[in-house]
Amino acid sequence: MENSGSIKSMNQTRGVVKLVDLTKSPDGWGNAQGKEVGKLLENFIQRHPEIDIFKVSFAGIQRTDASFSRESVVEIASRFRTRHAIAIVDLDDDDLIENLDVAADKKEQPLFSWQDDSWKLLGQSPTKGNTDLLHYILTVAETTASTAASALDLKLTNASTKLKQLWESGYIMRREEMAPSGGIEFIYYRIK
Amino acid sequence: MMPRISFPEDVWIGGDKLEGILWKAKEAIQGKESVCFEILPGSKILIDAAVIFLSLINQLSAEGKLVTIDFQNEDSEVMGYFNRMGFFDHIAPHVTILPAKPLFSGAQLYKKSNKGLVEIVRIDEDDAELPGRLADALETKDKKLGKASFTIFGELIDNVIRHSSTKLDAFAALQTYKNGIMVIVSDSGKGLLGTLRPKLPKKYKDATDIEIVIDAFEKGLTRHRKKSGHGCGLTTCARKAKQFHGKLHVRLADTRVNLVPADDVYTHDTAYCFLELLPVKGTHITFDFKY
Repeated sequence: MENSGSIKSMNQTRGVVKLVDLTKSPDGWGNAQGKEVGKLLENFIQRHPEIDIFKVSFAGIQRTDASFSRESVVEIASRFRTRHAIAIVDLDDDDLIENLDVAADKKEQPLFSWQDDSWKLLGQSPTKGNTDLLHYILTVAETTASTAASALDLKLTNASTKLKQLWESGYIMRREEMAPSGGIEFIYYRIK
Repeated sequence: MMPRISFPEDVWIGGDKLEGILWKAKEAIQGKESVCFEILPGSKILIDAAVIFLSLINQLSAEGKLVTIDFQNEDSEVMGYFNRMGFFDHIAPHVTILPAKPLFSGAQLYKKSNKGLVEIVRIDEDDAELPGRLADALETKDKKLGKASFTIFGELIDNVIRHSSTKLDAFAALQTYKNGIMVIVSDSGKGLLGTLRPKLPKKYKDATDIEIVIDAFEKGLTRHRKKSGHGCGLTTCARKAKQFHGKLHVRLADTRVNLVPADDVYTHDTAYCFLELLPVKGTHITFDFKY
């Protein structure tokens, strides 16, 4: 319970960006429009350094292509990786999902699309050795290396290495907190 | 004497048949300063052949050749069809049309009145609504295919805008038929292989055109660095086309690669290739969907 209290620290305020507000149209296609929209999203993120996870809503978007998806969202997620993250919401159209998935895969930038508490990973899956740990974090919302090591029966150094790999690869976020022992510890958490 | 190249009557002329006609006349077209294409009144030409023919005519004219298209009769059905499609709106000004160029453009006159037929459209980078307009025409027939075609048009038109590097016009068109739909994007630029081949990894050094085309659509080849995320455009087009069991035809400098999906993959086993064709600049990509 103490830990869950610390989750709601200042840097976890969520920002929601409606993609259709940036495209000014239900359709998005091509590199040029993708870059324009990506620049607007990038500016929004830069104006809100206090926000760690930005929700990009696809509500109102009807048609896209993969190049637009790459330049408008995936590229920006990649650029801010480890500092800010993008979670996708309101995306339930198979065509739009596929276009974002192909772009995320090619760019090697994973993205999570959320509907309530269920998630879909777009782009490449993590390595086999890191998959269980990622699923664990998606379930518990956040963890430390020692908690994850106990839960998944891993050595502490192993859990710590895997968490760092997942963070660096863009699957999870992390923040620093003061450990009960007085030192600094990393809290790793899902991108939602 | 000006060589005359005839389009036969009473047979549908699609992309493959057009290549046969052009291949037979290859030397005549390349060797002479003037050339006449004779399109008999009963000729029936599919949209992919019409658009590739248009690009070819404009290329020959830009090279300085005197080009004539002889429809033989003002009441020619094929001439009426070409007019309705806007063929004459986009033809190079020095091309001679016989017996005479239509006084009014059917495409301008009846614009957008037939949802199943979209006029041949010049690709203009400032026309942000072009992929949507083309896809809308399909959505009235098949909503899912229409939506998927937005992605196909978006990616192909974007490729033309970014890579073709030519002053010659590029075109997009689609037409619905009784048993299917055909969409084509045609440009007269450097060509897919012209831009890709010099930048590919060493393992493609001896690759054939067909191998590169298949990998471009299946794996997503790009001239950019690996982690740029580029190369996803053609793979997405291929994915969408395969979902609807679409055939894919790619006309390159002097080859034409026809891909037929087998178990949702375009492979060498179901691909065939026409080689040593009449040189035509650019990339001309057709998706052929059957109901």
